[in-house]
Amino acid sequence: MARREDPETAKLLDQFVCVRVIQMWGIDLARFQFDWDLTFAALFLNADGTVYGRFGTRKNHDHAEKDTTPAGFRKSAEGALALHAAYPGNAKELEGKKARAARWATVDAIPALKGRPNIKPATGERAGCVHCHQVHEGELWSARAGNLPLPDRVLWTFPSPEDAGFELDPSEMARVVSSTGMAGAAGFKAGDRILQFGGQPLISAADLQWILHHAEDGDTLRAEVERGGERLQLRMKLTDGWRRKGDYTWRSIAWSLRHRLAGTGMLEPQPARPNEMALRVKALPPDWVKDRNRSAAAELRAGDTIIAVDDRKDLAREADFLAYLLQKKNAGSVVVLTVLRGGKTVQASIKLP
Amino acid sequence: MRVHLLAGAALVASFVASQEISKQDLRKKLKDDVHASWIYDDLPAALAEGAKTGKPVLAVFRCVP
Repeated sequence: MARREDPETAKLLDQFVCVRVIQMWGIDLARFQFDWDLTFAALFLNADGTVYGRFGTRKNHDHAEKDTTPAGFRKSAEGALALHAAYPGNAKELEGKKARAARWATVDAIPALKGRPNIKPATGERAGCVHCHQVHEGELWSARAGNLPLPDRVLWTFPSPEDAGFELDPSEMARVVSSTGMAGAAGFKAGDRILQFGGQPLISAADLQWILHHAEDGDTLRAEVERGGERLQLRMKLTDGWRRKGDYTWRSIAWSLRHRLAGTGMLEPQPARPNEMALRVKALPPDWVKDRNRSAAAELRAGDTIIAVDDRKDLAREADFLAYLLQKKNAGSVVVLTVLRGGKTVQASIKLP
Repeated sequence: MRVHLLAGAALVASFVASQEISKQDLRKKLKDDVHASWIYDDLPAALAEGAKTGKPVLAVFRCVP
């Protein structure tokens, strides 16, 4: 992505101080925040910590390299340079890009990560890297253990622009290819270049995600777009529960939710039953997964199809089922799964951690 | 692409299995870009360099490789 072999990219990189961060040990989480589940993420910064923009986006299992392109990276770098040239005159409009307060300052302070082989403070000697995705995982499980709120934002984190109705051109900063849903209702049209959103200048789809991530349901976000040489003002209202349309199960966090809560591997919806709950247990966690729900492992079999949980039969997607276990059921509670097994219906009571 | 991904995963796994990697070893093993203009795994140094030169900072968060 940010390789110097490409002359255009090299020319841009020469205008930055470039640093490659390979792991999260020692990183100040109150200053450096991005979508932790990405395998490539970038921040464009002023040396004083002011964030010009973020780069890196992904919407599902298959899109790691479709949503993030070298051409898009170059455009974002150009955008960052333009913001840097205008700084500090534009400092006020960059305020919203700053990292938010962090509950835990560094990864070794996150309670759920303590004791992991790669989290060993003091000496700095660690059995491997601390991965970016561990921040998300650690924060989520620490919140559950501490009975802290687990709002939708925790699971449906950094929502894809598509979840809000935007299809963006991955080779541009933030150019609309098509709009539906909330974006369509707000009046965004194909070809629009989104200059500002939520009061912040956009240099990437990741910037849009940052704003959506922190926004509340019901918020109305102002936008400025360039359309046919003119600048237009638009307003987009976020409807209740909008982020739940997305699918977070490409994220690393989904594996620990499957293992620790459901006690399963992947749960596959059945194409023959698209509108009803029918989640097939593809496999149970292997023995080397220490944190698996052993109560579930004793009750469930690979090949089982979950058709109800408690009195809910509407959780058709794996994302919705796992969210129910996490958000609606406290640690220590029991869920009753109704399962199809070999043509029979059986019930499995599972205690949740 | 799949071969590259598998090779990358194997490399990461080998690092996880190993002890702390020295910066020198890291730079040798990173094959994508060892140009002198990149600072490796040292954000404070990058910010200090940005303050000194007036350049903006590009921080890329990416596992090895």
